[in-house]
Amino acid sequence: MSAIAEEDAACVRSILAGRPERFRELVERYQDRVFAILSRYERDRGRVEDMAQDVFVKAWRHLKKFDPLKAPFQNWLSRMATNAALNHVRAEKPFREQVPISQLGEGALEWLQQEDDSTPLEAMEAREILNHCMADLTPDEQLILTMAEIEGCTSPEISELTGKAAGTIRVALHRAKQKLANNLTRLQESL
Amino acid sequence: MKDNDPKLQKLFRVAREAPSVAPPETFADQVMSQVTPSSADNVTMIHFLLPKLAWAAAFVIAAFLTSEVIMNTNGLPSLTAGTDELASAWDFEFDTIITP
Repeated sequence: MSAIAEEDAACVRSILAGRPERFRELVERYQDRVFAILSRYERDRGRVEDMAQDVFVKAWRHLKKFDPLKAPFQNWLSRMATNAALNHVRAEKPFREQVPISQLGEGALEWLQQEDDSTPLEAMEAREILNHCMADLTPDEQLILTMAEIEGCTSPEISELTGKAAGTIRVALHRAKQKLANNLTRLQESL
Repeated sequence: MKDNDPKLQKLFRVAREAPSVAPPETFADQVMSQVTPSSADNVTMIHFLLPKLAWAAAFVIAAFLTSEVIMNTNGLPSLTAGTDELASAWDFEFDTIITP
């Protein structure tokens, strides 16, 4: 167990023994990580903040269930944040499917129409295109694709965070990439 | 898929660079106010204490009545009688001071 994981486990024991104020240390240590995970699925600052609060409150309520021998606190909390993101994607899916091409920015449309890579692409435009192309992917596929390609997680890491088998992750990732590529082709042809 | 692969890779690479939403400075305070009750929360404190005070009062009354019944049953002077005796002694002292 790493030093930081041991420190987290000691902090959790201390909270459960009657020092609830020490939960602040865990919040301050991991708030950036939780915000980073949630930001991949929601861009609205207020909603990310609400989701992050829910994640920490849930962690507080389930603190007795945390077992440092199974996983470090960071992974346990990241898994909660990932579940919150998945629930958010599921809830948002009906609305995201209705986003028309006309809502894509000019920069994004211009980049899509170019054969070569000469047109610069902003991060927000890339997100717009990806969100549009991912609309018909299942929430699980969206989550796995985002974790693998944007967060840079490996299949075993995604497996640990989602609770699915690594083999299932690899298959779902391959299928999701194929769907995404087809949707991108369709989008380019429709312009 | 092959034709679009470079474009997809570029999309992912650029999307990865998008900055995350930063937590506000007061975020930890907000979380702590939700998970631990504030000491200034008087309403919560009253809600917590009132039932305990009510039970304590009921216990004292019950103990008084029980001792009264037991003392009466055993022919001992009751607590009320003792109180009357003390009151008359006090009245006597008081009268002596006022009217020497």
